Amino acid sequence: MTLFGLTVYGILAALICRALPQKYRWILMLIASYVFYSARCLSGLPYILVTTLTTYLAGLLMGRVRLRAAKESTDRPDMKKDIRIKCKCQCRQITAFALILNLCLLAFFKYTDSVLQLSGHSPLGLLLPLGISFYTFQAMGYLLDISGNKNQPERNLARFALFISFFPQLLQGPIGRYEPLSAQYREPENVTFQQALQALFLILWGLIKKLVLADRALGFVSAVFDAPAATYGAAMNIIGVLLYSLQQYCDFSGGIDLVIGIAELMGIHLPQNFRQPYFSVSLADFWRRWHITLGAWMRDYVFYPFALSKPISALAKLIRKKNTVLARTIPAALGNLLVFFLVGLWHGATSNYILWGLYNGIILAFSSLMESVYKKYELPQRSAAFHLFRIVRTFAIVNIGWFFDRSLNGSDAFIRIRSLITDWRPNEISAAVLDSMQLPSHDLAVLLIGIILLLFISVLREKSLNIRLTLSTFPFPIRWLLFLLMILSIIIFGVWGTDYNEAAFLYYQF
Amino acid sequence: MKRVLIHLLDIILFICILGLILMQLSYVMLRKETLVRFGGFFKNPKQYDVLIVGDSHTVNAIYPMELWNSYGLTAYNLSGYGNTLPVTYWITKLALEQAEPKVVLICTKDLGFTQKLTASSGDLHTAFDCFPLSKTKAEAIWDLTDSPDAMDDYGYRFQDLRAEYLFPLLKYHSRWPEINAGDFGEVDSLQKGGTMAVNLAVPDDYTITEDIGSEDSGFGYQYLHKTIELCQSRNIDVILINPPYPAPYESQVRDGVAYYIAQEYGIPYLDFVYMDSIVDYNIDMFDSFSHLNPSGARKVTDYLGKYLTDHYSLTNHKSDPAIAPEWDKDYTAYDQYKLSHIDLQQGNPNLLLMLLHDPTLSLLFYIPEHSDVYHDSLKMRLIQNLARRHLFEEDEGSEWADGLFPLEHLTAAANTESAYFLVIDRKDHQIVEQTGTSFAPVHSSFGTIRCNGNSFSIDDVQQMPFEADASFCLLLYDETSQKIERTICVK
Repeated sequence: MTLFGLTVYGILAALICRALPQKYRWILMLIASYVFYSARCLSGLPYILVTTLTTYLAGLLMGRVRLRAAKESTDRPDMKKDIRIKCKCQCRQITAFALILNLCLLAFFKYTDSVLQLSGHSPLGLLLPLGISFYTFQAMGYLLDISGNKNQPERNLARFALFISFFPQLLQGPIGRYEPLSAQYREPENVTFQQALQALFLILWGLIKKLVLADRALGFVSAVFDAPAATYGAAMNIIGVLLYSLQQYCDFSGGIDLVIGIAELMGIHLPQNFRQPYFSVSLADFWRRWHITLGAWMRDYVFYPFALSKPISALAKLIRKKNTVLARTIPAALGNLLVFFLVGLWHGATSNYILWGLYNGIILAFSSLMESVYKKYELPQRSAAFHLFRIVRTFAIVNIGWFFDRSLNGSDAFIRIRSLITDWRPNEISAAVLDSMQLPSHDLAVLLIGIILLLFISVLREKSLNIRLTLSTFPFPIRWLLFLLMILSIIIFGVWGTDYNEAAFLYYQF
Repeated sequence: MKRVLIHLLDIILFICILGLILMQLSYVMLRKETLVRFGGFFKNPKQYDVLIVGDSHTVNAIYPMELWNSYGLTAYNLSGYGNTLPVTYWITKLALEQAEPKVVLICTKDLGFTQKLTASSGDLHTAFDCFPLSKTKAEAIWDLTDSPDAMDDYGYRFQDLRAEYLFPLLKYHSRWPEINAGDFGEVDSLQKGGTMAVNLAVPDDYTITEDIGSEDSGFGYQYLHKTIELCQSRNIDVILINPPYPAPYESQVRDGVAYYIAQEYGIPYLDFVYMDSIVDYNIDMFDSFSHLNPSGARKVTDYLGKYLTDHYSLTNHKSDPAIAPEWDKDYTAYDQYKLSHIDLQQGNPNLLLMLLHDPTLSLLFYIPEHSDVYHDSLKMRLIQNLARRHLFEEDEGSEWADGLFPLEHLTAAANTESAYFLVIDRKDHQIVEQTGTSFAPVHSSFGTIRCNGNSFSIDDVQQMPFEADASFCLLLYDETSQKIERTICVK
């Protein structure tokens, strides 16, 4: 199913949804999700079912354990503490069992081939079940929330299955939380005409970002980064990484716009996943704006549990005796290192991803440690020039990180980064070379216009202007004109059809 | 309720506008080759008395505009490069939904081809893109791509390309960097489907055989039957043709089954492979093994024009006021197109001489003494070809070769390396040859012609002087425009 297929499928599902009474719409969504999953990845169906069933049963079991504990506590108030500890222990065991089972499943598909290759064996060629990372993360979040007594378990298996399998999300997230979503699934919002227009604007904008910009940059990015690392000097590597930045952002956020738009048409509001990340003033700020739901997930389920764990608390206590500032910052720095190591590992079990994770973790850890030093010097933080400097600085830091992310392995990334200083080669850039690397002048022109438009829209959004709402209230001739322009841009300038292989979403592979 | 109605109208209006824009966009983005070849057919499909369907061999072998000029026949050549007989069937079916021809000529070459399609997805686009979306077109695409294993040259499964054949915009949306002013306007189908393939090739060896195969169960045979039956069900006369080419033994045996099929349906089969004197493979081939160049095509077209006129009650529309003015105007444009090909080949004497075999061009031709053309056997053959007589059905079995080459003095001039002066007057059907150092005036339909070895003059008006070291010089008098079109000296 192509992107157009997904869009049409989503719109049709939304139309049917709208025709049904509110309380039955979730059933249609569930059917649509499983039809979608079967059509896209029939072989992955057993695995999503295993995750759904094990997580659902584990949740139910924890609910029963808690209920029994509550009853026992009432019967035996003197044993309340013991009962609570026992209950907590049982819940942890159940959670651990379900988590390990599902993580093993995820790890099996994600890392078996890499491990086999590293050990000199031929890979099995395993196909990653569609959305396995995203639904596993959602399922783990659900279990950990129940285990931490933040949520009540869902009793209706079908409703829970919808939470795990809601089809727009399966491609690349966002990673949703059970509590806000389950309420919406139960009674989806009645979408008004204005809301539908806003959703359609988002869908079209997402398609523009993905098909017109991301996939147009793809050819050049691949030509640079799939070539041996020393092939090009700094000039080409810089253009390559900048276009990768664009490709990565437009691909991922474009896909998310599409997903959110389709969900909105069905009356479901999914969490935002991007907030103008390239306007970040620090790397920490960047990770609060980029893949927001993964960041939040890591913060809630990895960072805090780790930073507040007994060994780390003990370590902090030990350091506090000598330095109170370090006692506060070291747990955070270690937490960041762990989180980004895991994020890198999640992207892939190859050296470049792990180095990319560690690069981010180290910079964040270093920033935490240096925070107190910065505060000593009262820099003009509110000046526009300094703000701009911080944005540019963060953009540069992020882009150096992208070298690790996009290179074929760690040593390739180091060679490319080294070329930035030692091997400038500006003569490599010429119209003929760009043309031979799938970036002819007309494509470059489209990219430049697209970047300007992207920048303009990002600035408006950064200024908290609700562009979609504004557009949807325009008089209908202007509104339709905008729609026409967007549709025609996708048709004419989009990279799709048999002349091109529509690239899968970058995050589809995760 | 009122609000819902307004929203509904809002959406319907938008969809209509979008649809109209997409239709227009689809036209602009379309690769225009399909319109150059077939676009003219759709302007007034009912006017065509003759349709020609088949593959590239018929594309390059039959020129509808010459059928018009010589016989007043209204024909359109719907043949396409790479068309198999299944494709031919569907093209015929689609065409007959719009046209009401009296005769359909079906090319039977490659009758034994075992697939429904060749691997060229581009050719299939050229064949189908100009036909508007219809149920028949959808049936055609589905039928032709019914094999899940059929792949095109680029490795795409034909089944995955179905949507692109129905909605060509899906294929051509990325053509925007190539778009120019020509993509917005109307496209002329100057040649009405026939296409000049300009080249000269040395033909492959071949031997005529009378052996005929027995296989008749493949797609080619199956769809040839269907095409004949489709035409006959509409009372359309059918002629099977096998265009001339130096066919290998296997092809002759395989395609010879068309004799039986023709017998079965009581229809004629014109096997030009067997009638191998109609064209001269040494100078009439575009490539060594199959396609004709314009010199060969004009001979085949002439044969067919006379055959159609003799055997079918087809109207000569030359005096039809409803048709003739438009067609004559088209022919004038076509004539200029032919001249533009001659212009292109002025640096290539062989191709130039080949293109000058044209019944609409009168010619003054001069070879100076000791010219190097006398030592070039191919050029000598091409010069003989300038006035070569065409063969027709009634010539079958006669000693064709005796009367084919009317230039009696050319060989003598070559032997003595003396100057040679030739006048071919198409209007008066006059061929005048002279050799020696001085030439007598020739009275032609376009004036009194003199040649003094330095220039031609017509009615005492001197034309462009000959260049000193020219191999030959010529003057073209176009019978269509009735004026001197070109004077050329070739070194």
